[in-house]
Amino acid sequence: MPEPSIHYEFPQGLPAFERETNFRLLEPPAIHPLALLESLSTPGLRFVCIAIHWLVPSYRFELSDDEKSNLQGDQDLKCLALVTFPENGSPTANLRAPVLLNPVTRRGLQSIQTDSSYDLFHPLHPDPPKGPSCS
Amino acid sequence: MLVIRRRQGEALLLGPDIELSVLEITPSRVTIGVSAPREIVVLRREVAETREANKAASRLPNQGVLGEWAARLRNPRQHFPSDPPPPAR
Repeated sequence: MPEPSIHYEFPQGLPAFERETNFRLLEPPAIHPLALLESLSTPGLRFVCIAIHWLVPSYRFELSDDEKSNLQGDQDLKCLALVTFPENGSPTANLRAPVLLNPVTRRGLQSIQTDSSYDLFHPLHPDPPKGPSCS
Repeated sequence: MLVIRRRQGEALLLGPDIELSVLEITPSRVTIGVSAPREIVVLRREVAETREANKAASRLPNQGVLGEWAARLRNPRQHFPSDPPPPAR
């Protein structure tokens, strides 16, 4: 049975992938809380993403008027970070440029935060636990 | 880094073909005009960084790595085989 997914239109594509204007969000339980943003036009083009509140519960972003109008609204947006898995080293999430999805209008975009103090390469995992743990 | 002070209406030349003009200055931002040959790519730095980050993000690991990182996120204190061994006492 195919996984349920929601299709999103990205009118501007993503930076470096400007022609990719249609994606679907796949959320297979096996990789929760990670998810996949998959191109509907280029087979095999996928991005790993994660809900930013999973990493930074207090995360805030700003949208320009153009971005709000592209999303056709700015209420109840899904706020995702794209995750990079380098060949050597630990994965990081891009908190500087969140991917925002409007589940109502099915529009999406990547919003580059200009005045943001959030990291382009935010570690996906905090430092390994130190010391004994309680159960 | 070379640091040059300019006022509104003044300009800088980068090589023979590129001119940067300071068009407007407000307390929070500067409006800059760029005159350059067509083949010169001009990008805001954060856009260039996002492009590179997106290209890197499009290279996915295998399913096993994804699953392991998902499990790490769900169970932050669990030990995984690929973690470095605990320091010897």
